[in-house]
Amino acid sequence: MKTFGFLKHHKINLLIALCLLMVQAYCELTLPTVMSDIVDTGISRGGIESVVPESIAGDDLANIELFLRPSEIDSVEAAYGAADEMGVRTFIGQESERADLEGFMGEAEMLVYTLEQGVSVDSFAEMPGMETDGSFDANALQAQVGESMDFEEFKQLMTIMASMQAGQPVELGPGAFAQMRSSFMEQLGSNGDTIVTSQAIMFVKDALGRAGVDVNAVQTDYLIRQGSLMLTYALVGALCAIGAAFNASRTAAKIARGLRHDIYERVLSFSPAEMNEFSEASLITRATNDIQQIQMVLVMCMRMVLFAPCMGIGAVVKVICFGSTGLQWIIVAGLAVISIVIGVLMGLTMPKFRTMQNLVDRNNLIAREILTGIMPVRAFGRSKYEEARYDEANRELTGTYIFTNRAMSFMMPIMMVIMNVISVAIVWFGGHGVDAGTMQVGDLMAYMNYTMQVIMSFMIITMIAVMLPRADISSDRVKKVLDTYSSIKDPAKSPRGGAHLQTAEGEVMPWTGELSFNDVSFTYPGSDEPTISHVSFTVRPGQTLGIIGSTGVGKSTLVQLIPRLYDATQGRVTVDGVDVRTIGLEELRGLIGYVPQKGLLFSGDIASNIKYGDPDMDDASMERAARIAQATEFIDEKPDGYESTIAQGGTNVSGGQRQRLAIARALAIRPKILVFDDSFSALDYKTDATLRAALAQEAKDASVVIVGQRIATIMHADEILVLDDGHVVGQGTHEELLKTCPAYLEIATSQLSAQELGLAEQTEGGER
Amino acid sequence: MPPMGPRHHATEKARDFKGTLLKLVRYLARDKVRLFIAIACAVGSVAFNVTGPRVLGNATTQLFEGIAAKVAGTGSVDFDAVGMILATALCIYVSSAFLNLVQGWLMTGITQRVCYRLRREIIEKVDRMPLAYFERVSTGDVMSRVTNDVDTLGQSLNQSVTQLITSIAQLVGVSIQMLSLSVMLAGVTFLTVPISLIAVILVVRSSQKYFRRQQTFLGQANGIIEESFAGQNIIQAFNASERSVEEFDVVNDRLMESGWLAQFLSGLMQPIMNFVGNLGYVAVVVIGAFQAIVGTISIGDVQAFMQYVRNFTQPITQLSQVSNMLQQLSAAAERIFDFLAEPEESPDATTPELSRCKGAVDFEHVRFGYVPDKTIIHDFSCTVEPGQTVAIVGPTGAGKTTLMKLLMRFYDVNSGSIKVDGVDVRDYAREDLRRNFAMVLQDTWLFKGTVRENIRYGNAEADDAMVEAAARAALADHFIRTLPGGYDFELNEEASNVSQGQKQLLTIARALLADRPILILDEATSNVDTRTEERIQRAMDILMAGRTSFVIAHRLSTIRNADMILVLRDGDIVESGTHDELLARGGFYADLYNSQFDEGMEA
Repeated sequence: MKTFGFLKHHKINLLIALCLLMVQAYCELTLPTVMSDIVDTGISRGGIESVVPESIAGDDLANIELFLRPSEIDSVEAAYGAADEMGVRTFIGQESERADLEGFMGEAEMLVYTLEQGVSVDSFAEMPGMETDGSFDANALQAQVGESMDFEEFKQLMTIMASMQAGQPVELGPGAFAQMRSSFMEQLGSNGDTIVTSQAIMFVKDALGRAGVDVNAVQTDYLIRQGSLMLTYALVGALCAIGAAFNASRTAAKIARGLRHDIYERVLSFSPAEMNEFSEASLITRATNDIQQIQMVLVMCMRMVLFAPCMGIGAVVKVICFGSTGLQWIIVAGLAVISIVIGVLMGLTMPKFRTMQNLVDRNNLIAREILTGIMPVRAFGRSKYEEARYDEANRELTGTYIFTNRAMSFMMPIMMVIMNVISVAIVWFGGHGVDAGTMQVGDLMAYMNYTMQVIMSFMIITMIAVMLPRADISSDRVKKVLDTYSSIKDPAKSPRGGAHLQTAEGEVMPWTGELSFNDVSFTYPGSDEPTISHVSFTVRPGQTLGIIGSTGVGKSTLVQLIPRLYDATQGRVTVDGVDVRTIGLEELRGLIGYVPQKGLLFSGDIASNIKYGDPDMDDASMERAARIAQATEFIDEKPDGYESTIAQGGTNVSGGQRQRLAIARALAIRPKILVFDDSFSALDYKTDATLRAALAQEAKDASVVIVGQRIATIMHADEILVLDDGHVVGQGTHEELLKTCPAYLEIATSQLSAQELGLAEQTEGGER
Repeated sequence: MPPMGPRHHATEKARDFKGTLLKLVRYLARDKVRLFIAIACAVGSVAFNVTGPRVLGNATTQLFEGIAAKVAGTGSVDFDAVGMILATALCIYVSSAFLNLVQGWLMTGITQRVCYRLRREIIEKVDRMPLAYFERVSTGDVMSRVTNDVDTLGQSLNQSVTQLITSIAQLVGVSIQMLSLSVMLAGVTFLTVPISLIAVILVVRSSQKYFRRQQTFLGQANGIIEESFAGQNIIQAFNASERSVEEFDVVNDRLMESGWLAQFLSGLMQPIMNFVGNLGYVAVVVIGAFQAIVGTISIGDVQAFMQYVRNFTQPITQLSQVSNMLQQLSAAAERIFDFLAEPEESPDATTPELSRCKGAVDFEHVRFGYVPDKTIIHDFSCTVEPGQTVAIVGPTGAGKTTLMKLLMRFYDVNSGSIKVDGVDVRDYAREDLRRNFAMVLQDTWLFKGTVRENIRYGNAEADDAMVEAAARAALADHFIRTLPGGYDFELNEEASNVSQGQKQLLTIARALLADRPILILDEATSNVDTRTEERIQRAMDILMAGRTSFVIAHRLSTIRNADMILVLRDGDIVESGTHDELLARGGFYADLYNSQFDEGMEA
């Protein structure tokens, strides 16, 4: 669910998506309604939509009026125009009036139609009002008209009967049978609507024919009209879907771009503390795969996940609006069962999904160990053991895969069964509804369609629900980076701005590069013990400071305080007496030529790498830097010289060459302070020596700090700092330290013989 | 050589699509019976599912006719008949679902077992392959076959096989049903096929262009990210952050543009197919209505037909997805099969058996190159007595490590021979030969597990006391005891929770425990500082006592005490002798050695 959080700043797009999807859902849901109309009206009612015909023969209308009450007759007369030369009257009323007419006209039409079809004498005799007076002789009538009589005979009979009753000839006028209609409807009861309507429609169909209307054309017209309507809905639905796809893919891509940009920028600002907290590999995954994952899920969210509830709610609304079909409970029950099934399956598989990641990791770990350890594995003859170890992890993983996949593969058939059971239930219970006249066959079919759509939308949700946990993990990982800020603050971005070196008069002076540590201590965040404690020294321009000590004593950390990759937790690091924390980061770093332990290069060519600190640098400066760094020799050997391409990470040049280029890169910006963090380790002794000699000559004005492991690298420095466990255990020149610092002496003798160290020089006298 | 570099799964195609799929089918076919049942179930499930709507349609017809009869006053709805029909429909649907369930159950098992087998075969293959392969191909590349490729296979194999079968079955079944209901309506529905096909082709074609573009930019963006994150402290130190972000944004924008277009265009498929489906639906409803009026078709048949139309476009869409999936699948499978088909090490000689050698080693005119025309070792000869310590020095690329790999038969010589105890190493079984070596390398190989497990790796039979004795002898006991949990301290994945020097001490303890007559120490101290090195050096001295030892080092101080120093340059011995002899000679060795102490600042 966290993934949705990224949509926060794209509310408008979200709204657009929602609107489009709602329209799409409306269209999709209307299709079955139209289809239902086609079946009910188009097929079974011959395309006749209303029991109030457009045009009708005057005689037919008169017949209907026989069954109407006076007020009803008035409305009918008002709604139909005068008869034309063919005796046909046309409906001229408003659509609203039509609705008023439908009720009683339908009843009247039904009665006319029934009588037209012929009514048996027996049933006539049982008609309401017949048996009450003794004037009626069924047998006599039967003899006269036969088994059954048609409408004309009925009218004649009624006229005769009325005349007999009145004692004089009576003309049958409108409203004559109104009383009969009332009693008949009473007898029919409340369930008669459907029968009334369908009979009335039959009458209208015949009446239209008699009025000279092509009944087939009416039906065809209706079908084509409804068909076009369906097509329109389908088209609008498709357009909305396309719009939603457009909106979704664009928004998601924009969000992904923003996230990539933010992460990239943030990571570049991180200090080593934050880098170590996340690890480089993990940051790369977060910036690449995780964001891809988020983008994919967002697209699906804005298209399908949102669509499903639109569909579901729409369908439920439709079903409710359908009127009292009495079938709602089927859908509700169906949804409940589906929810339970999904809940159970998810409950079963989700924990497994979580452990699966661990198993995958374990599999990969063992595979990686086997691959990186080919030589030791073979040398120790442990291949079989490794295979068995891998096999165990492999089996476990496969077992979990099989479990989760099987569980998920159940989803489909179970859903299908539920869907089909619901269909069957709708036909069965709906069938009884149709029989009782509460719904029509077309309604039933539409109802089934809605049900399918509701269930389909649920299935889509469950399919995506499987992907969401993974996306959420990705979102978490991305968010964590974006919630982390560099512990290094840039004073240039503060209101006061960065400090400058100033004369007494307040004029800005160029920096000279005198570097001082004043009682500096540093403790890693989250660590109790300081990595560096109470270090003080000063390097003036032209001087060299050497730093030596065992691995892990904080030598690298110490020099990283200079370009502010870290900040001292106690004490001050100053340049020309100004605290580095008050100097603008860009200004400070522009003063420092930093050569890290790993001679890391960037893809491009040799020139772009040396000019990295200032792309506008002239070639002479670049070549000078390469010369001092002892890189000219191998650069010239390359066919493309300075244009030789450098692969990512500089993997296409040797370690020593890489280090020399990294040194040239630092020298090229003509720094006031040069920091070498164990940068000579990949150089052979000869190159190491020449390089240092060239450096002494060419970078005369710079303050130089050299971290080294080889005694030879630092023994000629103006001052040497011996670190042990973060403490300074010795500080002085090589000669002084040999005498005063046991730790230094220990390191020195482990690398060089007493003779070579010059200890023996006094006694044996310069044999070298 | 297999393709290297970043992978682009979405657009990658197999070179031999058919052949790869055939191989895959052969893997599937190992579960022949299950596969057959699964396919039968799939077909059966579809067949039942396809007849369902028709039966349900009969119920509607019954209802419709019953109502019509009722209206006409000639009869009523026969609910017994409707009930029977519905019961039949229910049975059909439940059977279909049940078969579907069985099919899913079986197919999951089958495909996951294929994946299991492939993973296992890859790892077993690793053991039989020459070391040369792994020096040529990165670990990441092989890893991506074990993980990504097999995963891709596992995810898409199940789906694509199932969908292929069910889609085709559904297409055929629905077609038959439709034709038997009404040729006319079926014809109308079939007309939508070419429309949907054209739509699919158009969409796929237009989106693929952007997918390729997206993959390219994605690769570029990932490249920049990898590089910049690795060098982010340098970017900061050289004030290049803003520049770097600007550069990245250019690619990021392009990625976004191509990305959304690819997404959008491929996303068009669904609405278009849906529309084409609706087109058929409308046509069937309208035409079906006319036919129903005339009476050539019953209303229930129209209803059934409408469901068939819905079920007809679905398999077409699915088939187009399957073809996509098959492409991905075959590309992944091909990479796996390529790996499994890589040449293996030459078979082992079986005679003579070598249990524990004395440790005499002879190199006789050894000539070797990793690539035939690039000889690294030209003509190397030397004799080492049991128990001697031989130091090998020389610049990088001189062939020092190569010699050791030849000795342990990770490679075989091109000409000449290497003899252990007077017998050519090629005449031993590799495992027998290697059982006589212990090695301590610059890259300390430790695995995730306890300290005890890691030391015991040298000798699986060793008990705890022996492990601890070895650790004591290797001067590792002290630091191990300071770790939380001591010997049960768990090393993490990169073993980064102990220091480099401590790791090296552990590998020495492991080598001690292994107790092999010949020892190889390859730059074992080059990654540690000098004080730690001293401790390791003392541990190594203990280890080397009484064993034939080969020591490779670039710190010359490490090798002063060797019985013999071989100075290698371009694959040949240029000098040999003891430290003092070589210094006295004033040659290459002396030069190398003395350059350490040049007065750098004065030169």
